[in-house]
Amino acid sequence: MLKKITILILFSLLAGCSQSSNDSNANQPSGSAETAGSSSSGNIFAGENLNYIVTTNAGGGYDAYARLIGRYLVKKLGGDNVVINNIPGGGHIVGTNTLWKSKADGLTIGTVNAGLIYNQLIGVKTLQFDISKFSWIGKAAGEPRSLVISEDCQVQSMEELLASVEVIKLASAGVGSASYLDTKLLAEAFDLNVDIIPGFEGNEGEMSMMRGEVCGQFGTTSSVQPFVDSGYGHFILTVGGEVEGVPNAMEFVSTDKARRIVSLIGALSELGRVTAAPPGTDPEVMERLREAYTATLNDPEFLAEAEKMKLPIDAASGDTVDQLVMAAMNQPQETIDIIADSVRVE
Amino acid sequence: MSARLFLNGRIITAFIMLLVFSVMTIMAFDFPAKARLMPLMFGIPGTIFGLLQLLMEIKHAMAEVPDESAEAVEKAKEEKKNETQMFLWVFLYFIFILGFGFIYASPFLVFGFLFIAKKESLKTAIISSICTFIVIYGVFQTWFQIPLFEGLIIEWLTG
Amino acid sequence: MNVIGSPYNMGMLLLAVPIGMFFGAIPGLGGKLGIVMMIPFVFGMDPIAGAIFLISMHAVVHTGGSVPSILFGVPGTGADAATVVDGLPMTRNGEAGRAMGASLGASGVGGVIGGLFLICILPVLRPVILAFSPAEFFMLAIFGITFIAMLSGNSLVKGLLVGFFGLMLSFVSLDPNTGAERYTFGLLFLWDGMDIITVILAMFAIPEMIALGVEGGSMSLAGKQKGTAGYKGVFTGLLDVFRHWGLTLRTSIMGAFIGMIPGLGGDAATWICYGHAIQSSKNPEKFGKGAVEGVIAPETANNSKEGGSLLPTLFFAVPGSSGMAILLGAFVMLGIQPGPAMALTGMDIVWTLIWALMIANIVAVFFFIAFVPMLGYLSYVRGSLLIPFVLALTFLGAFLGHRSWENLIVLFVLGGFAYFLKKYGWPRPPFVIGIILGPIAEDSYHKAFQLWGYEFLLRPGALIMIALIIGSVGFYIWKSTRPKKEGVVEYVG
Repeated sequence: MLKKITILILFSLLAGCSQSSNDSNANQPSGSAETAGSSSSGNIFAGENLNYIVTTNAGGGYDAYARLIGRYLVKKLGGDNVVINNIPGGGHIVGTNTLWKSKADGLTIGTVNAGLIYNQLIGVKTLQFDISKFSWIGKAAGEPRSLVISEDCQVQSMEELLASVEVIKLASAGVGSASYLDTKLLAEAFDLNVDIIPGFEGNEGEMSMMRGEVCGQFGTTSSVQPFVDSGYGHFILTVGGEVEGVPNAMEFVSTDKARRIVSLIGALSELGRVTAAPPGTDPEVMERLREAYTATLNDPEFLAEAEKMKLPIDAASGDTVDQLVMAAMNQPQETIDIIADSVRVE
Repeated sequence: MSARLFLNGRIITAFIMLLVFSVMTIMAFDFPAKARLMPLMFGIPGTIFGLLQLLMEIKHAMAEVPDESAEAVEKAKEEKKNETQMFLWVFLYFIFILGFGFIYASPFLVFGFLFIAKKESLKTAIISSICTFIVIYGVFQTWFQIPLFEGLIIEWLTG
Repeated sequence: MNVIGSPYNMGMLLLAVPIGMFFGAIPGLGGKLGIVMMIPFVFGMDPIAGAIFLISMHAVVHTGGSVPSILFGVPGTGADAATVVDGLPMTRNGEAGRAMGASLGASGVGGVIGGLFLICILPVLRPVILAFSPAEFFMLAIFGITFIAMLSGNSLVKGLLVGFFGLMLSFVSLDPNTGAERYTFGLLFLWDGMDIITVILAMFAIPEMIALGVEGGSMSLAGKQKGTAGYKGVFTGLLDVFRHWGLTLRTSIMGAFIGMIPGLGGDAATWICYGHAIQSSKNPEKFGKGAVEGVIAPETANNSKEGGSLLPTLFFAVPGSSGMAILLGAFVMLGIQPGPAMALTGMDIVWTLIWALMIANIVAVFFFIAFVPMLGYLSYVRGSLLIPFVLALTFLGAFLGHRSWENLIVLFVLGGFAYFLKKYGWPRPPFVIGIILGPIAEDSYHKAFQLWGYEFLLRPGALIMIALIIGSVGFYIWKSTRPKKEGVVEYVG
């Protein structure tokens, strides 16, 4: 009996020790050397792991950026290792909820998908956060959008699309996704005569174009680039970025409504790959994070690796991100109504 | 006789199936047009089949002559006891992992199951427990760097 | 050749194979998660070496996944669940070694044939893949669903109910066609639908472990039969693969072909091939009781489908299966850009990967042979020693799929119910068909309808499929109503 109890106690001790040493949320300043730029209260990152939440599964865009940035970032902060924590689900909402509720000690940061701005504007109930209140660390790259049309389509330019009497079919991702909303909003802005067919995830839309079922797709420029490069289609419009020889959406804007919508899409495109810390993170800690982030994105070694991995870099500071988010959130009721209508189910 | 029918496992299972189908089908009527198509397409026939199966089970049970011999009764009791025990342990696994996470709960559960439920030797139980711990903590959490669920109670305690 | 020529690349392959088999063998970890966990490892590696590592690992996952399926009735992945149906009874009959030998041989052969299939079809790849539109996907899904009838064994109504149950559960999600929340009760973790791994573990692993605990004893009921767990049994199994060479060849090709069609998901391939085995057999009633063909068919398909699904992944950047979806992301991360440009500039990568796939499958056979007899003896181990571990891994697997603890609740509730389904003779395989094909059927239906209206049924591809469905259902009815030795098929449970 005594033997059993002793064993049980030893066991609990062993389990307990390992648990606390692995607890990356523990704030235990160690006596190791301070790195440049640390505040007088000691480097809180020293000897600690940086917990980087990624709101998608491993592999793919957000994850790749996070892994690359995370590796350099943690070194610049003087920390130990970066632990990438993939929390997919609910269209980025689950991971973002988790980030929102995480300890604001600077040791947990995460990716935030700009598309969530749409969700917040229309008041989606499962959101447990206020996107405007995140502590923004910075942005790595924007995600400009473009409207691509297949070579077999009846219309071959924006002018033709605007004038089209026939209904043009466009593919998009599932209803409620950022891609779907982008497409819907664009259609509203320019009063396009289109039928949006949802449910095409990833590059399925391109396959559909190749099969001649749909005419085009409005999505991130980078994801459709290979399609265009292979000669299957071409861009006829772009938002939030510049593509050579392709007109910007603003050129076609003729109403206030259109201007506001295009600006909104543009703002979201500009936001792209952003990283944030939970709300209420200490300003000094934020300063450290932002500094290290900027240093990372300017590090020539980092840039070389990013190039090798084909990850475009177009950095911006946390302040800029803050401004962009605030501007994007500031939408008139009319626009909000349009977004809400787009996801309303009859 | 009706008590026997009521407690008959086969009938209960068929009833639960019917229940699931009917509830899901009824809920589907509230969905928007496009969204309710497939659920109804399979839910309505499913409900009908469920009813059919339930009736067949009842008919079968009513026609069945139960084996009242001592050894059959004994066997049934033994089976029931084992089933209850197994369900209890699965439930314990569920509750403890939910409350205390994988790393804490699993070794204890393995130990408990082997030593208490299956009356294995203390040595076997402890070694298995330690192996479980090594695999879950060492392989999954440390080597693969997958942050494992810490349990709702632990999460609540550590804030 | 990039693979054999470079010792570094070959080393990567040799390292990847046992890792892949190991991941496949642990329920819940199989495939997807394994790749996900290796991503940090290959991050920043030379693209070719990294890609070889990942594809080699992925190619052999199902080879490893057959181990727990056969020995414990616990599928390593969704696709391996088909192996359980006859693999587990074989273990019960004391033929675990033979089952694993058959599975091993089938996996190896399937993988190689899958690779060869790829090579043959490359020239006509584009038109073939593009021939499949949502209309054809829908009909294929319906075709798969009719298999539910064929897997119902003796009780059609129960089988249909379980199959439809799977279908209904597959509708639990945020509907991508309307944005409506269906059966989600406001719970965010259900927005993406029920987690396949959790659900399959609930339907198979939990009932088997509870049953084992209730019955006592070990997985093998026949007691130690000399020779069937050792090498002799394994070689018998290996020879079986060649004895049934017609089936082996057919299911390998079918598996590769179905895997090639994006949007059908690789898991469907194993079940369709299993169904084909039943259909083409002279004694269909032996299936489900330990027929070695019931192990061969899904296992060839398991491995050949990976070869098939590589094609749309590489050439169209549309994943052929869920595992490929992760691989796709990993390739992008390594700097390889799958998509239409691949055919123009990336052919050498394609060849490298195809070769790596085939070689990995062959290497796996050798690795496996070393371990198989040992594994066979596991079926004689006391159930009470197995259960706590398998249970722990099952719960872990359910969590790991989606990193949400809510899935533990699903596991417990559904698992408990599934035990009674097993106890009272409700067939469980139809459930897997339902849950896999449900989303595909619905999604493609809505797309097809929105694109063409009801006329989508008149497309040539769709018409062919309709003919196939009617033919296969008719054939089944004819076969099962023919007077047999045991009498007419009963419809009572």
